[in-house]
Amino acid sequence: MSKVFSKLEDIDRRYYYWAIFLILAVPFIKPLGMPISIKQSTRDLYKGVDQVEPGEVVLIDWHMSVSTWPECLDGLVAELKVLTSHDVKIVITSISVDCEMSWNKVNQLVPALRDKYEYGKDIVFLGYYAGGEPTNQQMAIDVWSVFPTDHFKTPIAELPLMAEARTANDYAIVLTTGENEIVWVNQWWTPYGVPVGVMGIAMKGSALQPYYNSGDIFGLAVGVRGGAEFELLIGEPAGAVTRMDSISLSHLSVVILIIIANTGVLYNKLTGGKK
Amino acid sequence: MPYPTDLLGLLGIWTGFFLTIAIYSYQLYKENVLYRLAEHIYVGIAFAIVAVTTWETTQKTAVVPLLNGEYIYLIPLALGVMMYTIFTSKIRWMSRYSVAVLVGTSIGVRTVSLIVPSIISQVISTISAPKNTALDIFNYLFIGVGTVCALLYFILTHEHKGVLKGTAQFGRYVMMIGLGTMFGNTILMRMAMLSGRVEYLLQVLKIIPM
Amino acid sequence: MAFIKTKGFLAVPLIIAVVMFADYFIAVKEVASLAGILRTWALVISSMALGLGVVNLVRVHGKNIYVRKPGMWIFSTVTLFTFTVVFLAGVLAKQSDLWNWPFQHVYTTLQQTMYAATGFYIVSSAYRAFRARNVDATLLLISGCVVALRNAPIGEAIWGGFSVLGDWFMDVGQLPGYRVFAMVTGFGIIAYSLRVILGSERGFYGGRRE
Repeated sequence: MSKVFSKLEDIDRRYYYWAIFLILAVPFIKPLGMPISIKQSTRDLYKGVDQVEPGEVVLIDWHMSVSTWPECLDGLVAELKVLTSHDVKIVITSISVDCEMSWNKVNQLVPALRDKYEYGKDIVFLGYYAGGEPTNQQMAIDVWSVFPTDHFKTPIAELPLMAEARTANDYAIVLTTGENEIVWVNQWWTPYGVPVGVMGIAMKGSALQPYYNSGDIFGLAVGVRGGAEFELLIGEPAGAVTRMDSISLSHLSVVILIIIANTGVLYNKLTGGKK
Repeated sequence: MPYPTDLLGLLGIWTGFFLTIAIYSYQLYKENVLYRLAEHIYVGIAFAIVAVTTWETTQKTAVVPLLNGEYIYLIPLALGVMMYTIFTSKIRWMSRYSVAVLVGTSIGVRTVSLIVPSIISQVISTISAPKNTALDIFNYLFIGVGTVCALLYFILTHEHKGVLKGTAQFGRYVMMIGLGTMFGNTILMRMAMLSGRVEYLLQVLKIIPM
Repeated sequence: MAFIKTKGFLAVPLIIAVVMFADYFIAVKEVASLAGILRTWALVISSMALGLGVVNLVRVHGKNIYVRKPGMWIFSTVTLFTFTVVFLAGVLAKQSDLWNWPFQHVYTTLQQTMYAATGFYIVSSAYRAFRARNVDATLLLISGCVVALRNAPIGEAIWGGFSVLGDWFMDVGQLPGYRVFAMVTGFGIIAYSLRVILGSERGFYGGRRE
């Protein structure tokens, strides 16, 4: 029996890689359609986004680069659909150098941003900012001092929306996507009471849970699972829901591999074989 | 986005397709020239985008205000240029002033602002968790005892023996549970990214709609 | 002059941090104004600092080409050529396809592909590295697997308990560990900041002692 486990251990890893590649592909061709339950933290995020009144201003921070689109983009699009359905004004900024790509993509996927919203009056894209937490603090005091122009080099004073969205107190909520959301909790929620909601990467789910539990973040949806839950809440299943079947099979495969590997360890331990 | 029909669009998605295959040829086959070529193209383009962003952001944050009469911006511009002296050995000391400004500002901002959310809020929510049902009480005790024991684990000035040994060990177990949940979430993140790429390849091949 | 080169910069974080702390605790207009100026300076310096990596890239790859490093110089040429073309397009012709096309089809694809490659390594490490050899590792693996199956709808389909257990691990089980990580990180940042302000911490200034 130990020879079996030994042989399994020596399998070329490329076979695993091909296997996972194919396992990920099959559900796209033949969807499984498994039901997805919705977590309370996602419901709280949806509630917080849904309760923003028409005409209020929301700040969205893209702490994501194009590499995290599969994780975060679908959830972000769902959030934008809710906001645009309520005629909420939106100011977008980002800590990622490739934010322009995300802006173009989001405009493709959310028709209301192109057809219903007027740039400068209903939505402004401020673009990239450097400097980390000091910049977030300065934005809370005066956004204009951080962004003399928007991403398209229009002077900030020429954008009507920015006249009513100059300090933290002018914003209803902050929505952040990706990672490093704590800076908004530190600099906008704690001193000014601006609620922060997070549609983050899955890896940050654990680190953000204490802040959600303590009430410092009003809602939390992580990864493609969070995006799928949000899509279901708004009644428009899209990219994230489609991807969940693929996620299901790949997760099951990884867990089965872990179990097989550890069965060998357990067997060796019990029989006093090689460790 | 529908499947492109224009020449540039088609060239784009097929270039993306072959570059993806080139990168994954390393994992699925072995290291080869195509993989290295794709890797070096990526580095070139990524840094070009960073360079363009540097150029534009510097213009936006410093040059534009300077041209509008705010001459005080000459100081941070000079400090920014001084950063580049790090590449020379003779005048490298000038870059330390730029770093010192960045470090001082970050410290000044972060140190005070993290006290409430990272420390005080966490303590308050540990001791004020709901205690309505038997499960709530169990959870409350688990969180309270686990937090204290995990904090005791980080006492590095005393040897972990006697009572401290047992509590620190329990604290370590509690932290392992936390790291395990992060591992579970990491699987979700990595598989989501990989599934995004697989979806793209299937879309380019028209096996599934774009 | 020797003082300015070797020690003068150590006073900068102290002065700036004091201004920032004063701004946080005292509501004085002049202090707030000075703190705001310092923050915008940090913003400008950070923006310009992005270019450091670019300069390093050009140095490293330029040297490879100059000395015709075997096996590398051709790839370095590809990197610098790609960098130059895309950079010039970004600065001089940002609205053109010469910028948009590489950004949209090459950079986006390669960026996503490179990050997604880690998905493969999760699979191989699941089989080769994650072994439950002791209590700590066993706890880590159990919580990781339960959370992984909680994140995937198939877990719930196999057994509803994965969802219940997974939620418990996410909402309660991991909380002590991550609460402590948040608190300890907070204390660590405060302690580290004190060391920087007092000049004991110099590692990030770089370079050899002069």
